[in-house]
Amino acid sequence: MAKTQQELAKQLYRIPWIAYNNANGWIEPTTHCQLRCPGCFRGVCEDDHRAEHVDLAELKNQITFFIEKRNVQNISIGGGEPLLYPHLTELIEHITSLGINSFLFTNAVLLDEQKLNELKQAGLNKVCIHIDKFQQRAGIADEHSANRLRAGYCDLFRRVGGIKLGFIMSVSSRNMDDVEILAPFFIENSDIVDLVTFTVYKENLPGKTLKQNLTYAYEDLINRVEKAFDLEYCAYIGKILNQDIAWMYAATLYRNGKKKGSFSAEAFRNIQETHLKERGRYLFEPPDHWSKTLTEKKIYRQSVILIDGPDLTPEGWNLCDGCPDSMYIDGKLVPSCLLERIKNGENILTR
Amino acid sequence: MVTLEEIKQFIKKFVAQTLNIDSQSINEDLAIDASYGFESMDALSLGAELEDWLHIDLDVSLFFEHRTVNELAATVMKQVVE
Repeated sequence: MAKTQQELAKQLYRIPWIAYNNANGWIEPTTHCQLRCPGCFRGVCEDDHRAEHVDLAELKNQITFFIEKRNVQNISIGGGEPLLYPHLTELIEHITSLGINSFLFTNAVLLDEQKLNELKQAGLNKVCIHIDKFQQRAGIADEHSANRLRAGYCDLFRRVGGIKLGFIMSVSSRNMDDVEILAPFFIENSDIVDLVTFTVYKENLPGKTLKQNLTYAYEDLINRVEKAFDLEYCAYIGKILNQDIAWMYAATLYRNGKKKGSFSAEAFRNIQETHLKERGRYLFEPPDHWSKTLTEKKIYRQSVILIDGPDLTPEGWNLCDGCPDSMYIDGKLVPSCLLERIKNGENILTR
Repeated sequence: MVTLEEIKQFIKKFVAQTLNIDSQSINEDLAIDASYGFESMDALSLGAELEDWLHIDLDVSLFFEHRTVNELAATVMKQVVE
């Protein structure tokens, strides 16, 4: 019988990130995007969506806040589609100059070898590409064709080298079975795919309610991913109103494409606590960088993260505790996935 | 067969080379990460070198759960014997 979230949590390390001491901060340079992904939390699919770029100076202010007040090690750049932002390279150079890692969350439509080299030169650490079969991209009808597109990006990153690659996709009851197709692909490409993220499909825009037929038990996704990837989870982020799990973490080591094993909860805890002691900051994923020795020996780490974002309950929003993807907007720290609600007047603060 | 002392010396030599310190200065009962700044990536590299030297498979978490030279060497020795 499948374990409940509470039973799972007892065996894992609860990541102690809080609003003002956290591994990550989230910025969005633009709300322009070429795609219309179902469930986009920035409301790009909506008729009243307003596309605009953010001033570079404002983004730099947000980054300063994250470093000085939130103690981040990492800045995630999302959107909208950040490759449409005219000052992206300058933005990444700025983050690099401050000694902070940068992750780019992109649909990669505009990502070619020249652009990737340019971003690498600017100091970008990782690119996390959102590809799923519901994006209405040309030629992408199912998960197999989506994997062919993903494979092209794997080859691009192998050619360029020195920059990490991740993939992100949302999961609803419509594509839950695809985990069995995705897992072998990501394991096969574990030499280059550093991060795989599955997010639970939500429709949390103002006035939106998720259709009942898209929901499923989060435990089902947790168990399917564990089985399909043959991994062991090590850590989680909780929710603020109950004992539910928001984020699940696993980090697995592969050697020559063969699984060596996953990090234990104790290992993850020791790595986080030692990094905090030595560097004064939490890590986003252990280890935070790679060595020539490991690459020469064909040893690679692949993280798998599952994210079940906030839900509206009778007691209020059940937020991710210490949300890593918080934005600094109008002097407030807020969860990025609920920004449209906040713009609409709801008072929701990261906790 | 390899001895416990040889494993200890291997670990100390690797840590010393990685951190550019004198291997004689490493206290075998202090955590090599918290006390000497041996990073998680370094620990994984040490694991790979030990595996290749000893021709065994080692658990990936071993290097983060046993953090002193003495503890680590004893655990590795146990796996060699098994």
